[in-house]
Amino acid sequence: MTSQPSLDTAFEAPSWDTVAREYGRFVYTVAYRLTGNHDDAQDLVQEVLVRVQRGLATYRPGTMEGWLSRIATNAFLDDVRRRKRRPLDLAGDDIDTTATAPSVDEAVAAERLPDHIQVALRSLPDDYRAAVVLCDVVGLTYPEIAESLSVPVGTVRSRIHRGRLLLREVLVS
Amino acid sequence: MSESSGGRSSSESVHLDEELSALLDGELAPDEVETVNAHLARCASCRADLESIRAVRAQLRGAPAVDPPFGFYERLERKRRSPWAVVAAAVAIAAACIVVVGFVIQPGPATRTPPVDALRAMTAGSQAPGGLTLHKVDHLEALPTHLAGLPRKSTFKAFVQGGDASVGVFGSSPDQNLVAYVVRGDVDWSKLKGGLRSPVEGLSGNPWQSIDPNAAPAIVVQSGDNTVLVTGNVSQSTLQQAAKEIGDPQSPSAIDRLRDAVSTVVDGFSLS
Repeated sequence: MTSQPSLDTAFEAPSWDTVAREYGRFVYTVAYRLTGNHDDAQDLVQEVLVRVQRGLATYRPGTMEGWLSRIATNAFLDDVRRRKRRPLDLAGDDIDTTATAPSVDEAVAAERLPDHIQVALRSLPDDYRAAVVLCDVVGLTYPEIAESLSVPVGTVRSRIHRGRLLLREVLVS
Repeated sequence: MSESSGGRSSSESVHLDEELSALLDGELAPDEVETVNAHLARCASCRADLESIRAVRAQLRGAPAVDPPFGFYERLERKRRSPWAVVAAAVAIAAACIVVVGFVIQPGPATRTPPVDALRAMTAGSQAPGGLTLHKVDHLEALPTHLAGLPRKSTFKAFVQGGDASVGVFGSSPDQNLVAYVVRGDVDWSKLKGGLRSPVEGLSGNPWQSIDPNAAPAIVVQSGDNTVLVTGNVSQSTLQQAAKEIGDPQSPSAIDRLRDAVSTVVDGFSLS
């Protein structure tokens, strides 16, 4: 049996726990790629889950990943605008601090990250990073990204390409 | 370049620009693809650009998923259970509440995927034979003794095994959970940023415990060829009991012990 809604019944939005259970890792990955560190990723996921819970009633059938990543990206950009975020510290704020030592699992998770990619992503302007993450981490199409970010497709295309060019410089060096 | 470029932005340039990314992403119209390919056939510089961007794109797309830190969902749940959350829960649909609360407080692998790959990668001499399979477990009919102190509604949420690592994930009551990692082989725990830690009295196997106030308590012991990590939001004595039980070197195999503890396996799915 599948969970696909049948055509003759009203679409049933997935429950919050289903969203988190099935896509928790996905959302965390997107959040981590967007924010660049575990602390901000956790804050972002928390905000996403709040918005998910609030927005489940309006969820339309479609790609769950697309919907979730749209929520995550908007929450991220909202936060960027709200906080006039300080430039991300390229020196690596994943480095342990004695005040808030990460848990064992966090350390294990951090151990596996290809840091060069994360560092490169963090060097991008927020708008570029959002477009690149939606394209290359989430796998959305340009029109889907344009809708998510509320910008023209041409802008998406430009940001993705500019972002990749910048990433190329960092990754090569 | 004599032909009109497929890219609006490069109308003043003899070389391709955004069209390269768009080509790789399959976002060009058929006629644009034709134009771009025609240019690429003649222009070594643009071909080199294309390949370098293709490599960047491949690196991004090949980057692994990121596991949330252990305790993340527990901490979220604790916030949710603040007075405000209680009020909010009270006015929510009862059934939905049960599902949501039940989920959040039982952060099995479904809500927080255990970092199996990382653990396996850290295992000395890992042969990495194939993928690990995560089994969701409906219930545990006979509670292992180390779970005896937990409420009767305790459930064994999942069991992961494969190759050189096994992970038993013990979901439990609304208030408690317990997770046990059993890793075959030696683990370089020095790589772990486990925060503050201290030795544990009364346990064998070179045990240490995390005393990081911001993380769930954890105890690690060596057991024969295995390393056992027990963690969760249970009392320290329960953790120690679990570590002792699972890490008992007299046991033929800690992995077998975990495996035997699972009475029902349902809905297997793979960890990617």
